[in-house]
Amino acid sequence: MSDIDKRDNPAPQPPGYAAGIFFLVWAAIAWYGVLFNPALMASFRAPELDPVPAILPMIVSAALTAGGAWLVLRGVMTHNSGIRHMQLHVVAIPVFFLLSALLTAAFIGFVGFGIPAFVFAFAWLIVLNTQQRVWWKRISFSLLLAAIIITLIQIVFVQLLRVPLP
Amino acid sequence: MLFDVFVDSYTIFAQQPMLMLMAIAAVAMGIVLGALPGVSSTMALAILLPLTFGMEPGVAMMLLLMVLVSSVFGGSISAILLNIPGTPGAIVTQFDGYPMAQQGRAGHALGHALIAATVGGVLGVIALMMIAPVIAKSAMSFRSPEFALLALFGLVLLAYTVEGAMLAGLMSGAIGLIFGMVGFDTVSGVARFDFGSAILQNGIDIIPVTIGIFGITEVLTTLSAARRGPLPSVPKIGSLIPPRHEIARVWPSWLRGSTTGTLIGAIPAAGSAIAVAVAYALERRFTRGEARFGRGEPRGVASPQAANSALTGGAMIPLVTLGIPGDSMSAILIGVLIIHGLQPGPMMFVEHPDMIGTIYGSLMLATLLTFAVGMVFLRVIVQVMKLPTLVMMVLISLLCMVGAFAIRNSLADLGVMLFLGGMGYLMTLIRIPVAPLVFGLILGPLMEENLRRTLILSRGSWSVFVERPISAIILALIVMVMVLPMISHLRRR
Repeated sequence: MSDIDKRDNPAPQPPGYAAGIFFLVWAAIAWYGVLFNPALMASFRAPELDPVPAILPMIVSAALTAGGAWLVLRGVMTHNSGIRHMQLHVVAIPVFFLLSALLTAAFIGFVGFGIPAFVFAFAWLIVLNTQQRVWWKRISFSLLLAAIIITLIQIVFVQLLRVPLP
Repeated sequence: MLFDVFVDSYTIFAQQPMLMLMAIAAVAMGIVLGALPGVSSTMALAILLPLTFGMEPGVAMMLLLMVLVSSVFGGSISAILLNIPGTPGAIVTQFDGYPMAQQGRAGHALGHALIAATVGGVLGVIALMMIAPVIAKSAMSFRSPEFALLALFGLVLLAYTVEGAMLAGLMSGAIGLIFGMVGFDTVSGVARFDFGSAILQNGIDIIPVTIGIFGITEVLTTLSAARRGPLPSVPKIGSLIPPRHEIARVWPSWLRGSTTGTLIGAIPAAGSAIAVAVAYALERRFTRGEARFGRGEPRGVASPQAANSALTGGAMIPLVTLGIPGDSMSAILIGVLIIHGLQPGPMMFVEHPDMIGTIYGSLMLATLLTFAVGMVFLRVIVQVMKLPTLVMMVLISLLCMVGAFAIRNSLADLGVMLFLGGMGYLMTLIRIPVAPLVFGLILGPLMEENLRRTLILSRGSWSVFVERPISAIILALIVMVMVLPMISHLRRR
């Protein structure tokens, strides 16, 4: 690696106990999925040569448990949470963006694609187009762009690719 | 025979002008997407993937390869003009490209990048055409134990690439393995990880996960990381053709960069960032004392760019010969092959030589078209960079949503995609690499199927993995890859 790389890219901070907890949560879900699945557990008693379908899920669950526990232990010992330091409002934008996308997806099931997708695009274009400082210009630009985006999606996916959008 | 198929793929392009037009449009789109800061080549592939669902496998692969190759060059445009790499592979191009642009030589810097990308791309494809059949021929003797271990080897390699987060990478891959097991087991018919949900019993498709992780996660990351306010202004470009004396001085850098890129690309998981860093470091070493690196040296643009483009051909070697993704981009391409019912690996050379020919032909054509489109339309394409990145994220997220729905016309897939996108974002916040999750999902079923087949044939004996010479070697390699970083870590302490 060049000198410039070394100067600009210091060694990244390793994952800490937050990552360990994340893996332990997944390990718990995986163990629940294996141990509380009667059909899967019954396959252990099946007199057949095929290795039971529970073997790999169990190996993976055990690996997740061990790896997660190790990361938690190491994180606690080194006082490293591993969470990226970000201001709350910086994280808030992606979180609200995702929540609104989920809401849009839910509404698509009820009222079809066009209206929820248009509202989603229009609202976020207003919020994110910070380069335009004049409000009426920002709103009209967002309105126009949202309409163009939705029309283009309808043309490409519905008319050309025959995707039956709700 | 493969050469004939390669030539045939060009005959098809010549006979179908519409296909050629689509290829040119895909190349232009790839350059534009690559040039947009915040849109990586992987993301470009993920968002355009849904457009290819209804297409013939060959056409779908061709279009995505056009986008892939051209977006790799596109990444260097914003690196040179704005000092913001469009793609991770362009990070080194900006070291000398941006100073050149500041000195009023933006056109020459872009010209050097374009020519180097073309040379690198062509040499990468030639290397692929020469090396891949040899490896595939050797891999023909592989049986289930070897394939099971090969999948595990790929997963370990891919998970171990993230510096300082090797264990987290491996665990991320393990979550991918679990996703791969969701639904009815194909051998016993037992439902696994379905939690009584009819939706989960159908399994988790690769594509919503891929779009979620490489599309929505990237969108969310860009939203939290993107700079607010206007981007730096785009400098005047001028002539794209560098002076003759400069080309005479730079051409050995094309060859050095291309060789580095091809070799590193062929190693699964090595990635573009490593290739360009090594190419740049080598270039500095080769030209010690005579070049002004970091202050606008054309060789500092040419060598990493050649490496970055040659890497695409190199990364195809493990994909077509062993069915292992060399990086996240080839993981998406494997997903495309799988949804079209094709299993990448050595048998593809026997069963689907036409697809191999299409891959060779498309890569070569994409490289040449990138040069042509770049030379003619670069000034127009540069205007797109004036669009606010955050505004583009709205369009990209809508394309991801429509794309996830379009796979099976299922709102559940849309939900899975958004869930995975959110989960990927959470993972990046707590420093867990996300790409291994997709690798686990792709390689998991291959690994489990071959593992179980092996154990059935060996009547439950695990010793078969060490009794067969090739599988023993792969097993030793896996152990080595896992143990060596630990030893090196302990020695450092």
